[in-house]
Amino acid sequence: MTDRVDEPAWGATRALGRATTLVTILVLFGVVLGRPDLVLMAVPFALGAAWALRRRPDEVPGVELVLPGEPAAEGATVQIPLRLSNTSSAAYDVVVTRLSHSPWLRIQHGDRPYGIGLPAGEAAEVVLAGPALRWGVHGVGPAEAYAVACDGLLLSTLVETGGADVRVHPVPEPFRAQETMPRSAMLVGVHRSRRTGEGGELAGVRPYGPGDRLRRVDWRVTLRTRELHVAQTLSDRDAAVVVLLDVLHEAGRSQGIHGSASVLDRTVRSAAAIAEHYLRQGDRVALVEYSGSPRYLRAASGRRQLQAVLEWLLHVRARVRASETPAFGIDPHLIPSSALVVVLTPLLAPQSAEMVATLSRAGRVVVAVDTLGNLADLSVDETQWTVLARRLWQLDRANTIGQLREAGVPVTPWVGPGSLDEVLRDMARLASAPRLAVR
Amino acid sequence: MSAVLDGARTYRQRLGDWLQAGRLKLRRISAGVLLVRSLAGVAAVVAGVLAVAPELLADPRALGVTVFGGLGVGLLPRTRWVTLYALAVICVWTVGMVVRDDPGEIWRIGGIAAALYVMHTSAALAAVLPYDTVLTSGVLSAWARRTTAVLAAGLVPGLGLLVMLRELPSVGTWVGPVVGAAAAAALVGLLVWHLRR
Repeated sequence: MTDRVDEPAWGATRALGRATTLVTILVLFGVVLGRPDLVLMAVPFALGAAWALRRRPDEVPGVELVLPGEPAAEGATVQIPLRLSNTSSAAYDVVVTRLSHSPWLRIQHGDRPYGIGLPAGEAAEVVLAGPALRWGVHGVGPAEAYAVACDGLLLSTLVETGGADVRVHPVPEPFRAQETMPRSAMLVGVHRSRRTGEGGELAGVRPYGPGDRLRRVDWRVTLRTRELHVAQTLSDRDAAVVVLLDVLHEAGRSQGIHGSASVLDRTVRSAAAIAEHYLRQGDRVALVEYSGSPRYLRAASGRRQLQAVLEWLLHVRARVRASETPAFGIDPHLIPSSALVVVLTPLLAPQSAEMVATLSRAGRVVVAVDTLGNLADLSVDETQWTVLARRLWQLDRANTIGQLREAGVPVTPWVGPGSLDEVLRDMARLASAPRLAVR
Repeated sequence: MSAVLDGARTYRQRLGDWLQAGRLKLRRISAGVLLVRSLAGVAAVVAGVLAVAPELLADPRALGVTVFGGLGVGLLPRTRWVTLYALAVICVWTVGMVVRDDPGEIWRIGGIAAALYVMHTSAALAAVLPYDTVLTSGVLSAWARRTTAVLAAGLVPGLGLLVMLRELPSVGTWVGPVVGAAAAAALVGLLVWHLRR
């Protein structure tokens, strides 16, 4: 998009005034004093100015920002073409253009203006490229440009184009979860439920009953016992996973994909990793953002949902002010009872722990993943009070984690692959254990 | 007394800020812009050295003023310093030649004219470029071609004409000044017309 002025706007530079002044003075003195050498000194100035001004530009330069439609990944190179055009009848000696951009796009020479010559009636493209250092929606532009013509004697007004956004998807951290889901809901999928039905994993052998398929007959046991027996399997079911991002607080300083990660970075990348893993398995994934402006992404499965998840994650923002309280507490009814709820939380706010406990008391299967990581152990300027304050804070946080565990919510740190395996295994065992029932 | 001390402190801080800004610019200046500014400065120094009488150049103070004045053109291409320096060169040359009643050597005249024009065009280009601009090579080569063409088209015939004029016997007449004045007025009028259209 180009913003153009309605009428051509070119102004004289100081050089033009200098040329006129020097020609006048040199010729005047040359004539008055009878010195042809002074007149000779004026000749290049007069000839150069007259020749340069014989054809003057009548249009200001055009500048257009052409951004790629496809999003980029963290660490990948982003290319930003700047299209410059000269629709005038005179050439531009140089078009100087500058592009402003987000600091998370390390554009080569992006902090400098570019100067390029442009003949009459032609266009040129300056491609600025560089790696995208962090996920998110990053602003590019506006781009500004002005042109110089007639040997530096004329200068155009500044032309500006509007800004645009570059979408950078988070790079999911490596993640695998090998363990069975504690609960699975539907009738197709890769998880072994605790119910018998059509599936691949053998649950046992039992006597034939009405409705059993003949192809399920276990002939070896049948011949041995002389009674018809069939093999029983566990049904294959899919699962619903709700990834809940606690972004009430941001901590740590993000240094992009190649540096240290903040809590928000870790939360978003681990959410992308978990969502990608379960979506590839055929499960349904939903996302919930717990913040000052809560958001919800409906559960779905498949590749399209993965793209929707990555786009949704771009707009995750930490709470801007400490005084902002979440607009809602998490309504447990928003989350299906059969869903596995993975809460990514740094557990920095009491509201976060309360929210997790509420979900667990409402009967949801909740796993809390600690996204604070090693930030709690970073060294700070130590004084006699910071040592004590740090110790108190660590004790308080450990107490909160202990209370959540007592409430039945496992809290595990995020370590990439296998982060959830141990807790899922324990939860699956608990789910399959016999329960006492009061009759 | 405290006001004087405060003033001195403020001045020192401003000087420090100015020096820091200068160091930052030195680190960021791009090669193309540095080349153009250097050319403007060097051309200015050459014009000044050629304009000043050789016996005066032996004085280090005169040489120092000439060199620093010329380098100022490269440092301050957007200011009136460039015009003032050019006028100073012309005045020094004119006064020196008039006082000694010397027409001046052809090579010095040609050198001053060429150096002044190169100083003017390179200062014009440096004035419109931010100091950290990344320039494509085509910009500088096109500028060099234009400058060379103007000097070749203007100076070569002009110097030839000057040599021929010096061969002719001098005749006291009013025709020359009138014709010269008319030519000068026509030249200036042409420039003004170009400006106004």
